[in-house]
Amino acid sequence: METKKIIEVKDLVFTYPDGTTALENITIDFYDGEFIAFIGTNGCGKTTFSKCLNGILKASQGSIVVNGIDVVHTKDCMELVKNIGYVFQNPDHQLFNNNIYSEIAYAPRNLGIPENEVRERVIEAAKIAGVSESIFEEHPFFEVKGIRQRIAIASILSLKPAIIIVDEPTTGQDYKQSIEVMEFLKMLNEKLGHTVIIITHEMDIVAEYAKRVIVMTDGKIISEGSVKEVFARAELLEQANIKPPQLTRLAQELKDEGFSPDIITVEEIYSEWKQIKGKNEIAEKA
Amino acid sequence: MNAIEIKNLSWRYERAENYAIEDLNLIIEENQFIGIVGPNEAGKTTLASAIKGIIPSEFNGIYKGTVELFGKKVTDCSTRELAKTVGMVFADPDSQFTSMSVEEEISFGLENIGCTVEEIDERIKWVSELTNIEELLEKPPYDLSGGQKQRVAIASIIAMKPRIIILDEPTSMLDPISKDMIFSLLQTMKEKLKLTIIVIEHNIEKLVELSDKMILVNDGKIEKYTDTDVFFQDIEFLDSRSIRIPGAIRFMDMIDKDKDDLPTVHLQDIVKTIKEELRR
Amino acid sequence: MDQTVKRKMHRTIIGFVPGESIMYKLHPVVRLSLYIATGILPLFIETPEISMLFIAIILILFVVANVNLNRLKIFTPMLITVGIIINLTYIFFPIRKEEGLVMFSLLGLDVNFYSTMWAFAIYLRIITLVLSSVFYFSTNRERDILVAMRTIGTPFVVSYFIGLALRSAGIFLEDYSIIREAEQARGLDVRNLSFLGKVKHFSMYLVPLFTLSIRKSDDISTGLFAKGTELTGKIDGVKRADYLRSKLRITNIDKAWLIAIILFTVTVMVVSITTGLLTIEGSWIFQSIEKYFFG
Repeated sequence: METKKIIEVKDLVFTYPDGTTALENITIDFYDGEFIAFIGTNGCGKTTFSKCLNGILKASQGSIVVNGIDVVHTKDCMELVKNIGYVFQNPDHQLFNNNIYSEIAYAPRNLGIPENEVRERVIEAAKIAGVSESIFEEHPFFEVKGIRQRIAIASILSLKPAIIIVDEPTTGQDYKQSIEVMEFLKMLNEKLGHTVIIITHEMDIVAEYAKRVIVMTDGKIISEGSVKEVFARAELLEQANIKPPQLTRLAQELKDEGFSPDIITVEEIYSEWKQIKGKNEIAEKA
Repeated sequence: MNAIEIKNLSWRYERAENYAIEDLNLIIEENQFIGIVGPNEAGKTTLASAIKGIIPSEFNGIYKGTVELFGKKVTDCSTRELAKTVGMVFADPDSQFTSMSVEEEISFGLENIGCTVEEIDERIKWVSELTNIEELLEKPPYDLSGGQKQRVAIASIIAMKPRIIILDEPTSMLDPISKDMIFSLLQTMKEKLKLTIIVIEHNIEKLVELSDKMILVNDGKIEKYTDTDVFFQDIEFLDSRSIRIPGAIRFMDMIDKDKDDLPTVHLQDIVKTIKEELRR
Repeated sequence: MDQTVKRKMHRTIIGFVPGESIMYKLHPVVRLSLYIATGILPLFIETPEISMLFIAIILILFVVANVNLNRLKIFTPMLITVGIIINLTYIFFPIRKEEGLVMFSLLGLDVNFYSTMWAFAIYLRIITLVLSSVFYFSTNRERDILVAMRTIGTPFVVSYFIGLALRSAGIFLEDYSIIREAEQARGLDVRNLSFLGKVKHFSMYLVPLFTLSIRKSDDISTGLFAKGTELTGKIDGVKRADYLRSKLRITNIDKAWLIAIILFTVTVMVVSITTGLLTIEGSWIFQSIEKYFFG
């Protein structure tokens, strides 16, 4: 697959002011159009890493290049936000305008975009995120949490960033809401071509939606690859306090019966079951 | 003995248009592990708050019916009595952390229920070892991650040794193995201290492994309250309520032709059943 | 699971304290009394050279206590501004006008000798106060402050509310920093704003900050209820246990330090009040400059 490198990270080190090293020598590339999940223990550095990517935190050493911009040294943070958007976990931290319209218009206005284009962008972003135009004049704080999260995402989409990072998109959401937000991110990734990075603890979500998984522990990347590749390495995951999804674990426990250790969907395990069962029956008859 | 007995409970928050809970009846026996599932805003937290007595004491609204804990009405209990009987851990670990260090956070509740210094010391040692927070004891809250705060919140309630513990999405910020640790801790507590444990969780996979019974709350009502295996007998119904069915249970449902039997729900049992099935 | 690495520093609401420090060997109440002493003493010392000696001692304390001296840099602009303001004040509003010992004229304004000396003495006192406060808050965490307060007899309810207030301040500041990050993620560059822009901008933060506070304060009060909080110093008629204080007992060494600090403070106060030793006129610097200008 010949795709463009969109983020290049080389020997990244990040040290907090109190002297703790949060990231150690991270080198990795991300490609245009990927759907990536960062997983790992609490405090493994995944949030710190993602904040370094969009320059909220300044890397202590090493280099990060996003779409040709040197994130570590650039003074032009406008150029950077145009390329990489960050959605925080709690929408309440990112909503501070008096009405929903100006909330979504806030970022493009910061970039100095002419007002008529701002309007176009707001309408488009709201439409994609499913925020109805009829509530544009309302105060964002009085909406329910699901809508507040959509407004938060819309307010990032209006920047039209190539890359969108979402911190714990499904925490505190029920199953239906989780599916909704993940389907939405999938649409952004597949239909609109955004590169999407999620940070999450929910392995089922990772299995179902991510295409590439980065496993972090103690500030280092200890494993990365496609969902199937990563979840098949059960021992390595244990180091990072991670367990593969339940079905994968089931298949791994049944390895001796002939199940593959990288199963992630019910359909997969069911079709393997039918095959194995069929084989066994033939063997028995013979 | 019944740990909890709710009779015809209705509750409407002040200014709300509808009842959050309507005409609800529930009996939970002592020393049970109960899992509560259901969509957000369905009334799960309201139900838990009513058991803990937060409703009606901390909120204004219309309260009908009764909630009894070990035969005594919650409305007749003092704050301290309630704290000794029911412990509750909330979803947001930040707003229940009210002191300047982990140690104080745990000792605060213990001081409230009248423990002596020696007792407090003993319980802090005991609980911090159990919940793996020994190294955090001196830390202030803003030096802890969300997951660490959740462990502290759980520890500070466990330390009070209440007879009933309610946990409202207690592990949303924990990684899978820390989650396992908390759940197995709850299991041990239930067995050793004969506690009654009620857990509200979206992570159904974990609940299934430990719950004796499960409750489905929807639209302010209890729609299902059965033993855990019976709970998964009608998968279509759970699907219609947007309840996540763990992959292994769904798989069992697909291969189990004889739907009249009780479904196998625990992962280890599923492994066994499949092995047997393949040998047959 | 958790990082076991020894941290060089611990966080507090307003900054950091060192991970290890000899100060931690002292009971919080000794540290508080040291703060009070270093806060009061400068008021009894007019003599600039002794004030300077005092400053030097506090700076040595910083080093002994393992506090990162880089933290002091942020106070430099403040110290310079204060110095300028005090000097200007005394130039425009000189004391002892009638004595009129004018050192020299600056742009038509007479620079009065006494006033300048006073400005200098007061400036040194302010530096001492700032440094001793910085020292206290760089070696004490919030819990130490609470323990010290309870030890000197502050009622439970008072220290409880102070604790809760500190905690709320912590939550508030945490939210504030996340909001700032979120703004930065949406292309706000505060450096490009004018001063007025910054002020206007800050008012925007208040909306989410207060909404969050209101949402959280409900949760906090239910959380406290869940822990059986009763705001009394007595439980079932028995004095409420104080776990934190019981952990930090006052040792004999602490007592010795306490006595030493109190004795020293009282001695200096008595000397200052009864003798002329610590007055500005007794200063060697004062006398030399006086001699140089006025013979």
